[in-house]
Amino acid sequence: MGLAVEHDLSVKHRWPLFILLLGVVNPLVGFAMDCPLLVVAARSAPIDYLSRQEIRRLYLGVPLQVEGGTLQPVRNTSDTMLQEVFLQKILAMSKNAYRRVLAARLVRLREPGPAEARDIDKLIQMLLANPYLVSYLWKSDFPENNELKILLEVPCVNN
Amino acid sequence: MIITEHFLRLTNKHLCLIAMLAPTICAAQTSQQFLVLPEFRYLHQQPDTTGNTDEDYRVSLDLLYGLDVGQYRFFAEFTATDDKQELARLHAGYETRGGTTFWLGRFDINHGYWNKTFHFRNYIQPSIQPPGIAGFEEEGGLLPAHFAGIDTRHRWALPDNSTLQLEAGVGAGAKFNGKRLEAYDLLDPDGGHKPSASLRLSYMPDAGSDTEVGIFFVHNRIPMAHALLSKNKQRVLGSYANVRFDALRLYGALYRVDNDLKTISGRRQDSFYTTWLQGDYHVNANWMPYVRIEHSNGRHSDPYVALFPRFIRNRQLAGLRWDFLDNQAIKAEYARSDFLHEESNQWALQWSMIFP
Repeated sequence: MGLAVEHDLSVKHRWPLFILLLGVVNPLVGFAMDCPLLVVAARSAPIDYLSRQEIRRLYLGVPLQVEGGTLQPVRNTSDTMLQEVFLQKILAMSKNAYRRVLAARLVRLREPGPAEARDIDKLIQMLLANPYLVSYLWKSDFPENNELKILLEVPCVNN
Repeated sequence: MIITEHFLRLTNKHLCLIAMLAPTICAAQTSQQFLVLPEFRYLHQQPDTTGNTDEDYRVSLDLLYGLDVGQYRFFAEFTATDDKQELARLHAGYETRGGTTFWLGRFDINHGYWNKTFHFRNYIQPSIQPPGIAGFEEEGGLLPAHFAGIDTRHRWALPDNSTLQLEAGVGAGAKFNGKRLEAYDLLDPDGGHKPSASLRLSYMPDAGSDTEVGIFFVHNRIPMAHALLSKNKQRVLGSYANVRFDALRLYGALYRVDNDLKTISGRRQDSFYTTWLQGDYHVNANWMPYVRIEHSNGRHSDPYVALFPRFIRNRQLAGLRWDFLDNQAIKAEYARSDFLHEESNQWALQWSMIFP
């Protein structure tokens, strides 16, 4: 009898439990994802396209020379999920792994990690002030006034 | 807390200096990074010859700060243990648009792989004990490890995604104080240091990974506070490599050391080589066993080597590293070491973390 009651309960609560488990197992649940993710620079930037490999190297600290100067990456830390997606999709590493890479780089090469922008408005101001800066944001945050250009569009689904 | 305040006072002082030198840099692109690395270590040694045991506890704190403001560079590393505080590295630099960086300050001498990659003995370092030849001056190391002066670095990005890097430095090196080498201390400067010059060429086939091979050359002039020896002209030549095969990381270095000692009655020369090879196996993100072998043909009959009783002639070391809670690590290791005059078994345990 007791077993039957337990069985009934498990059937009754299967879907809520499943959804709850999804929330625990899948870190994407509970965060806003305004896909796709865009890698952007100012409209006046001396480049029109960057490959994933070039962006990866840039965020790992490898200088990327372009006409008239060197590109500099900026981390958009305004959104936790955006950071996670960017690191997974472009650098193929977790936030903690990236943190370790930056720490090792500081010890070895005396170079701090990329500059950070903690809100979108500040990020856009930074990009507009310096055409050699590169960063990333959700498509929903992309300004419609034509001030920025898209260097790469990164869909959230695997491709 | 006192250490942190001391470090921040230094940092602020140097930030003001940078600001005074270039008032316009505030408008330039800025990036900075601050790391705190505490550590607790226990080391148990049992020399075979006497049967006596030696136990050593150490608590240490390593603070690192890096700042880039436009073309200007600043870097500081302050270390404190339970018995010593040291401004291990302090650099102010300028990077030209061509990619060459000129630094002024106190640096690691441009040789080997271990200290250039891990520097301090904590979370960043895969094992607990460094190879003997990489020992710092205060650890009884046989080679000068720091100099104060000018260091320059240039990187060439090659077409096949590889990078070539040249580092060269010259400045005040170490002196022998009768017991051990003594580097130039920025917090307690003193005289009597002679020039040290070093050159290190590295090739990184994939700039996105840490695979690296390189060669180095060092010339040290070492004043000797010793009854029989007055100075030493030391040359160090060597190579190193760090490669990865999936979960296996292999890295090591080879040194050739030549000493030209001036004695009260003339000159004496000795030369020896020393090498180490370490393998780390990443079972997963949390567990990493590692092994290392070290060997040298330096002997107690070599006049320079004889000054360093902790010099390691042979060592076999094995350990296990456990990374947990994202930013902490516990390491345990055993080493069988042949010092110059005795053989020793060593057990070590270390907790370390990195923040943020």
